Amino acid sequence: MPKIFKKKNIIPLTYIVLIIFISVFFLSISPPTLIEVYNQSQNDIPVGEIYGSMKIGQTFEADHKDLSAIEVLLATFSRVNEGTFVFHLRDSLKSEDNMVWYNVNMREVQDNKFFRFSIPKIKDYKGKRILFSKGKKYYFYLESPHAEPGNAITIWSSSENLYKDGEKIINGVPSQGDLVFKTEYELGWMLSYHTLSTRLMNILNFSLNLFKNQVFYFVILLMSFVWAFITLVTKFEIFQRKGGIFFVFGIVFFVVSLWIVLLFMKKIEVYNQFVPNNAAGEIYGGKKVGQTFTAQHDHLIAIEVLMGTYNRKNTGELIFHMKGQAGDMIDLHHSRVDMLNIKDNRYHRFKISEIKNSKGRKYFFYLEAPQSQSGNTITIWCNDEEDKYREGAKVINGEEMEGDLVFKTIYAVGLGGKTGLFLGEITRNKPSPLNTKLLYVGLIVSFVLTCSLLLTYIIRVFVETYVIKKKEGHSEY
Amino acid sequence: MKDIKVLFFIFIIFQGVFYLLLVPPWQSPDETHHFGCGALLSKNAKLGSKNHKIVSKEIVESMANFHAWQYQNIPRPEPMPQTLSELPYYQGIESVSGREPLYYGINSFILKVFNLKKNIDQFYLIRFLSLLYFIVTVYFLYLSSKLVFKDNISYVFATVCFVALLPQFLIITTSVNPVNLAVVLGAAFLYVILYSLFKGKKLIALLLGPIIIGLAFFNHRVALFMIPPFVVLLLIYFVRSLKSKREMIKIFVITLIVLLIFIFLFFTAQYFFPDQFKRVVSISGLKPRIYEINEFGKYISPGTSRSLTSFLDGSFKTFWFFAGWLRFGYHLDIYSVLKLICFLSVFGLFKYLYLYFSRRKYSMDVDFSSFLILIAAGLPIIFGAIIRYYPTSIVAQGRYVYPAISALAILFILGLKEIAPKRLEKWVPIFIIGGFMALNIYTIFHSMFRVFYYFTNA
Repeated sequence: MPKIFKKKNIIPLTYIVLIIFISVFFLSISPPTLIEVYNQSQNDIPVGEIYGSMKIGQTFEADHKDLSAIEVLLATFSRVNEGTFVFHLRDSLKSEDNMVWYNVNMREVQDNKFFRFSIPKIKDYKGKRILFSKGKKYYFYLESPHAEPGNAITIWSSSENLYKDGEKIINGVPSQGDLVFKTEYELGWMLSYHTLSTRLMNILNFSLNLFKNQVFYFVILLMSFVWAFITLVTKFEIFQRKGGIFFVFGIVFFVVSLWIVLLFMKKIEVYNQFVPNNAAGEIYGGKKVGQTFTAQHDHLIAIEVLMGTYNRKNTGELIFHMKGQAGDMIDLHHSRVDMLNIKDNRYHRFKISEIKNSKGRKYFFYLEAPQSQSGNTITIWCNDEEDKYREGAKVINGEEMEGDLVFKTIYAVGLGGKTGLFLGEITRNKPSPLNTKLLYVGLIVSFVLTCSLLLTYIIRVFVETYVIKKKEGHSEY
Repeated sequence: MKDIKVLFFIFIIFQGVFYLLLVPPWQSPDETHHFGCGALLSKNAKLGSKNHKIVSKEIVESMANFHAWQYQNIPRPEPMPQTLSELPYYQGIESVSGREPLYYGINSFILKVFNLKKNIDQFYLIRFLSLLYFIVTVYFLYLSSKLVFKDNISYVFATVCFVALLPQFLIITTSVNPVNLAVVLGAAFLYVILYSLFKGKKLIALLLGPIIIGLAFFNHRVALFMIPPFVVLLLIYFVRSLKSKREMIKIFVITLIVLLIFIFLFFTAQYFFPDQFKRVVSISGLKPRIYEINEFGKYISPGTSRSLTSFLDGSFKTFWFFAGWLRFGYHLDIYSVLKLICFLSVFGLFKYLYLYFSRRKYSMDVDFSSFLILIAAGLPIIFGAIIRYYPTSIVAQGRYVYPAISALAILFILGLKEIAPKRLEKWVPIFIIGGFMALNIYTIFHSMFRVFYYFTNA
């Protein structure tokens, strides 16, 4: 039986899974909430005075299940009206039965204000609560049979059909426009199965993706290195030997310095424009999609472009051109790429021969696929909304257009170059003595030295506290 | 032991100075505003008066010198405005709320004492003051974790490393921000409480606790979250005193005296600082917090779960590292691994609770009473930040929970200690220290260098 299935491993694993499940379960329960929906808020015209046999209403679709109120924008013509009007709520336009109805004194109505019709919790003949169904259509209307012209209220309405899920009903007939109304829902405790399943899937995906995560393996490697190093230091009793601490310090210093140098050696990747909101369209035939740009550093070695494959496998050849500027006849560089190697929604790197003095110079690159056809080619992501990148522009078929492609430029500045860039920038405009390059060199050296020394001492304390005590047979270890 | 302690503090001083100088001026959240308020006070001008234009103009000029807009990828304003509030993206000093009178007062005092003429010199002076707060915070945490982990030096250093090597904490704590003073007060407060609990010196906590809370209220509204651990401490004392009637009366009398002192201080402060006091009370009070909880309840439902998830994700990132006014983060894979480690730590805390309540024959390395205090110090502030900022903001920035960083650090390490198999338990601190060192070096020499010095724009 594999080790992982042993009882002592199963218990903690079950425990962790249980905690996750219970937490997600509780997080998928929503507490009682009051939701207000503005179904229609445009108030162009009143529907006219409501009196006699006039019935003005509106059909609507319930957005949630527990309808608790309907609010309608009423008007009094800036006067105090006497008498009553009646509010009816029915489960459809055709229904003859009221779910809710009540008389309201017209004196209670304020001019051009929403009037609230609370919906009580209704029970059927068996005493079971009737719930309003989410997505079902309902109908409410107002009438005032005893009112007369000059002593009646009205409802505000829109002149056009703005509410998609219902209609304004005048005397039982659908009419142009919609009443101005809001609906309110009083939701109770609720468990969303959809949320629960989505969250559990997210956790599963998170766990599975960890195995694809390079940082995860780096952490394991780091832990293994620390474990192996300390084990060796203990086994060979290095701290007990003369100069042992210097030996350990040397190794730690070397590792820390190496880690810093490796980070310094990384190439500079400048995200010139990284917000995609549109695709430049399929690139085929005579279509050429490109971008002008200004190099930010020296030693330009590559350009990366965010590509799209329309989620399909495309075949054919894509040609990359790089020029000094848009009108140049001769390419500084060109290369051909098999479209099969291009991944959807990923940057693709186009390497160029290194341009040493690139800083501040303008360049132009474009892509074309003359042999390709629509339905079997790629595209490039771009941003058309605003000028995100001010040092260049998108160029389609030789013409500068609004917006920019999503692209990066890569520079191999090197250790010396990067140090120079850092020291130049950090000292710029700083007050004395913070404008002295030597200060920062000293700071980095001091940082590396103290960091290494501290780690060495921590290892020594660890070895002496745990490992040696264990060797000496201390029971607690 | 003494060597390593000294070495550790030398290292964190170097590192703090490094962070302080590495983040370009005005590139930490709200620095323009917070520096401006202190500078304005030092010029004997009341906050919000027309004199703000002088300070504001100096800051704008300095921002132009340090191409502040380039980091945000927004065009440099042409012509350059005269005041901060006319600038896109950056916060002005006209709308100062006055809710951090203590912080601004100290800054103003320091600026007056040193009497530096140039705006940028004054700015770095205040940043160095922040560094001092950071060192004091780390020292208080060191003392607190020594008490909690009962002098288990590896775990003590692992805890201290969590704070001293947490990249975003270092960025904030070496910048101009009132949260730094709240962090020191929070760390000192936790130490006072734990010291009182472990050494049995009730009077210290009962006297110093309310004083620190009172000071903290004059600095930042997060002071409210110092109350739960204090209440827990009082409850612990109360439960313990049930064994002896005399002890109970003693505790009752001391609490009453402290309460009276607190009320006296309250009215004295109201008399001497009426304006600031009104603002402090209105912003720090319980009523707005209850209102926020009520509002939060309306929003948190499965329908909005997606945005809550991204809100929490953003908050998590800003706790660990998100530099340059929250524009530049790590690669997503790094956050995933950090999330895994945090999850493990949380599971470890559940395991601790399970072992405690199951009353197994298991020697608890950390007392349950101190665990309760740590939870009371750490959890409410996390929930408070979420409730306060969801869904009106994109994230609840990690710095809003930094005042409880000491408690969170101890809990984080305790969780990892508990979740690790017994035979690997001794290795946990060394892995944590190594991991934090590696992360910190990566942050400095890759993440921060590339955005602030190579202008990679992401």
